[in-house]
Amino acid sequence: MTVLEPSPPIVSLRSLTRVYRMGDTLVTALDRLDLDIARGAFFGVVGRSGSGKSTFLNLLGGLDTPTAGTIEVDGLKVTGASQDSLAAYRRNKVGFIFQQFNLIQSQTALQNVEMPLVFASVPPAERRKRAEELLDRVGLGPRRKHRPVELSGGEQQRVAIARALANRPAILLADEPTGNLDSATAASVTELLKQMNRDGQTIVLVTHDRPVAEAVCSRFVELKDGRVLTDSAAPATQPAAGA
Amino acid sequence: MRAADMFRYSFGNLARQKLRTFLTVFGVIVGTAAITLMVSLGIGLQQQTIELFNRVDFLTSVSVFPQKRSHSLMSFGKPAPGAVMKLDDAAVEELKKIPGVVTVYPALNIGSRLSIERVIDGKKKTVSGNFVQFIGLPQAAILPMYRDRTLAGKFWDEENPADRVAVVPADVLYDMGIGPPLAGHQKPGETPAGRGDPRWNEVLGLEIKIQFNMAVAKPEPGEKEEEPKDEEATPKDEDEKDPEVTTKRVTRRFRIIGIYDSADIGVPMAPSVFIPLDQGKEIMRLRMSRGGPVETGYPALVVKVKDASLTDEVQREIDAKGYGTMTIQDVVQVIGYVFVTLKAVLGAVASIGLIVAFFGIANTMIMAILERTREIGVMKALGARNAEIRRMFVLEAAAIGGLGALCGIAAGWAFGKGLNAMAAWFVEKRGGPEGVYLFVVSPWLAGGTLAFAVVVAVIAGLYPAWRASRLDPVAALRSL
Repeated sequence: MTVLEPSPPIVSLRSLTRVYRMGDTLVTALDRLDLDIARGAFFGVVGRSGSGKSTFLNLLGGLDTPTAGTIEVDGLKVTGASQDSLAAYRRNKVGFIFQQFNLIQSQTALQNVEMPLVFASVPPAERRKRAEELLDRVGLGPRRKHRPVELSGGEQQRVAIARALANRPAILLADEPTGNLDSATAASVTELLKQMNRDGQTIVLVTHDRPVAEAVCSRFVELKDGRVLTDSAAPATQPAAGA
Repeated sequence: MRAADMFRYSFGNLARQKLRTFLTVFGVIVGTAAITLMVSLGIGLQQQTIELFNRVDFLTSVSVFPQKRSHSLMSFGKPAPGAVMKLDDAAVEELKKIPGVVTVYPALNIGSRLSIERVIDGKKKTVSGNFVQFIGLPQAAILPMYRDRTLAGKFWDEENPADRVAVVPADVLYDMGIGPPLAGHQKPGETPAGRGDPRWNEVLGLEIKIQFNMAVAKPEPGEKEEEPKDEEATPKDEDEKDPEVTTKRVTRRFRIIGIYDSADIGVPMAPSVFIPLDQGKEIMRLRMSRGGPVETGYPALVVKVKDASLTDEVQREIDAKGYGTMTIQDVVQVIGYVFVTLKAVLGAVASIGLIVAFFGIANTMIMAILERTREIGVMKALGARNAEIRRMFVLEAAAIGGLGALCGIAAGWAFGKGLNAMAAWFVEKRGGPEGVYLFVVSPWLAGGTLAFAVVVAVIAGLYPAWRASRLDPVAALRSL
């Protein structure tokens, strides 16, 4: 399958480095990473635990700040931004999907989907309409009054996807979105993400499960020790794959 | 984030841990109820005191002194340095000319033991009673308040001219074993007397005696001593300091024409026996006549004003003439200072409850933040600003304070009402006046307590809220 790579890329990472201090030792989670992600891509990041993929996602989502290097998303320079600017970046450019769903338990499905719009000060009528549309789109329109405890795992993740899309983000960041779901439910959630991507949504998927990435991603990289080990877009340079 | 949404989240979060919220709010309720109750007691006592003074009758009086008087809290009423004016009959006439003045008369308060002559078993006997003030009153100064309290007989008026007559308090007579008791003061087996009780009739017409020493110059040999008729003069010891002056004991008799109820006259003072002004002046003159005429003037004058609204103006005008003045309003003002202190002390003691509640709120907020760490991480991931997180938690703390204060003020008010009802019932049962109250919750007290509780709660919530806003979103999202 030939993927059209529009220019310029929506995500552009240069020499991205993140070093943690663990007691007396320094741990390099990401090591001078250079990466471009095309607009409209379904981009995968695979790797074992400790490979740096979570750090990659946190930096890209503006939850963490790099030790060195630059991040540019949708024309915005994310590195060096103030706390408030980072909050605005997360509010306007990024949608998060977590392995644990992370819905607010005290709020209904509809209220959860509305929440990013609440932080964006969208008027109540408008945000309600948008949230209802999104819930319909993920097939949970009739469950909008339900609280997370009254929903199955798959349903909760669908609500979370609807929430992530509420502010029409430039990039959707999914961290092991099917990790807590049985295989049938996982497949339907994956299918939903693919549908979103077909509608033009750029998605960055982080998973430890290489076959998942192979199945759904237009392109994926494998991280090891904070560096790109393989890149599906450059098969010629790909070394013999280990298991 | 819109303010309405901020309120919805913060108040909604209170409902999540209902028992914990209730317990924390209860702490605030106890604290604010205590403040409301204590301070409302201060307000109630102040109002009762001021009401006693603010009887319309007293509001139309200005006391005039030869010297300016201090109006400051610590030395209230003491003579201030400055010129000394003479309060004589000329001064009385001068003050009478001020517009709005009804009458001016010397304040003649003559302290003396009250004794009454009775015929018991055919023998004349003198019964001695309490120390009382004999007050000389002109007819124009017989206040409606005094008339209203007349139980039997009446004050002197045009038809019954002011002769040697007196109006005497019933309780003083009863203490001397004369006349019936008033309600609430009766001994077992006695029936209390009300207005117009026939038992007063045998008291009316009795004679009371006032005795005082009169100073007289030693008569020159051959010169006849001037002596008022029908006065029993008994020679007394020679005055040691002034060999030219001798004193003699003088007794004056007054016929009881009226009996009044002094039990609740308003201002705490020694029981007063009212006599006509001229009689009072006469006694004063005799008492002060140390071998000569009155030269020092009266110690004080009383100026009666037509209407309470004119009192201030009249007082200013008398002040301008160089005299010292004092009105009930001046006294009430100083009482106000005293009560401010009292209320502050009561409020401070009661505030201890709110200080305890402060720690409760801080504890609850810290617990809430620990519980909601992941949620805070999610909110940050969804784009909440640090300031918004901080405000949400401060608002939540403020809501605890506000909710508790509203309930606490209501509880304090209701408890005060109950105690008021009990106090009124108890006082009335004992024959006291109706409508006694102790606790008054003013709008200022309610508003102030609410504001204070909210401020305390906000301060308690500041640190937890700051901690919440500073949470690292990555770590928060990873927490359980």
